[in-house]
Amino acid sequence: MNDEAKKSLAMGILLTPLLLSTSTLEVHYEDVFTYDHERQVNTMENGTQLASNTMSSTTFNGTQTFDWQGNPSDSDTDSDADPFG
Amino acid sequence: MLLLITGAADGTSDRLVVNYGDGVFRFNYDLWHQYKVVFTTEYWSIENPVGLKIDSSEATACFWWKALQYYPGNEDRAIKEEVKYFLREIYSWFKLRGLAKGNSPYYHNDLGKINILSIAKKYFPIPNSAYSVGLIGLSNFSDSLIVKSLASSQSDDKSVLMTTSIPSLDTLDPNFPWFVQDEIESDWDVTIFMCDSRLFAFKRSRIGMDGIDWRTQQDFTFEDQEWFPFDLTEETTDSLLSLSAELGVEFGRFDFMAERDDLSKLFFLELNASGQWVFLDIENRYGLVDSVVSWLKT
Repeated sequence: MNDEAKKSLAMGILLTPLLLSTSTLEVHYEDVFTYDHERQVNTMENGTQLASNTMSSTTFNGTQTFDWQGNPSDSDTDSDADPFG
Repeated sequence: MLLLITGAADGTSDRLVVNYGDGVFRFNYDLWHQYKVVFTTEYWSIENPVGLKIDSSEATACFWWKALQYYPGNEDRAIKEEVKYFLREIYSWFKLRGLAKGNSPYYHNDLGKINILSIAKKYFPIPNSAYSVGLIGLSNFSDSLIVKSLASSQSDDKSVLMTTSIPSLDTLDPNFPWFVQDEIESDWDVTIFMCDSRLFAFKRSRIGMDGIDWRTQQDFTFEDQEWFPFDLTEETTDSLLSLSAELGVEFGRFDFMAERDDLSKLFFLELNASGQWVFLDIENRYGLVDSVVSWLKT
């Protein structure tokens, strides 16, 4: 349980789903991706060919996310199933 | 030729393309404006900026992978919806011909989580689970409870309700929707990736976890291995294959928790029909990428 929820409980305030929610981080990869239409894969600035993004576009307490253009995810949770799964 | 519908920065798709070799065409939703497209009642074709092309005469399969998790810039919502509609159309073109691989991106919209639990309990023990507004119907639950999200949607301030322990039901505001489960005390998180009836089981220790949801503590640097393969019992294998058949899936990631430290006794938690899986085998030691590529080629 996060600190804000714990404080609320101590004050006798009932918990809500929003109160229990965890902030997500949007920190970006140090590497810059360039998509190559010829090879149909990414090339990073350091020459690595495979993008490391094999998880969701937003993470929790992590050190990086995968939104390489600095944009938020589409938040279309009506599709692609659980965006954090 | 395989049509891969995905996003440009997706590392899973990178790995699939590299391992697949010739015969795959990648359409990135977030780069939609860079492709030339025609889709008619008679035929369709898509061409990328360097002239690579796929059309209805040579398309043999389609795999949808996390396409809508990538954001196509600052387009107006109406324009994005037009492109999404087309993607649904072309995916359905493959479905109509029995050529769509894996699960529809809308799988959980159709079946949800509680319906899947109701099927899974025929094959595995499950925790008591209920969606409740008004906190009704929860009298048979234990004193040790967790709450979680059905949709895992971000709130307006970009926070998400992850699996969280609660002290008791009377600490919850009854005016909100709650998805409540009995908490399972376990030493191991277990996740089983399935591809074409091949099962890859992995375990992750829960000893010393801060909180109860492993996703909040995942090491995205992949410097230390967190998930380790293990062998399933014959009974678990048979049960999971039977469950998969009843759910109509041949691909996906199933989440379980072990009964204490006993990996032969698993509680079913959920199916992630489009769940991530490369993180289990980031160095391709266990053959997950090879397995998926072979399946996509069948």
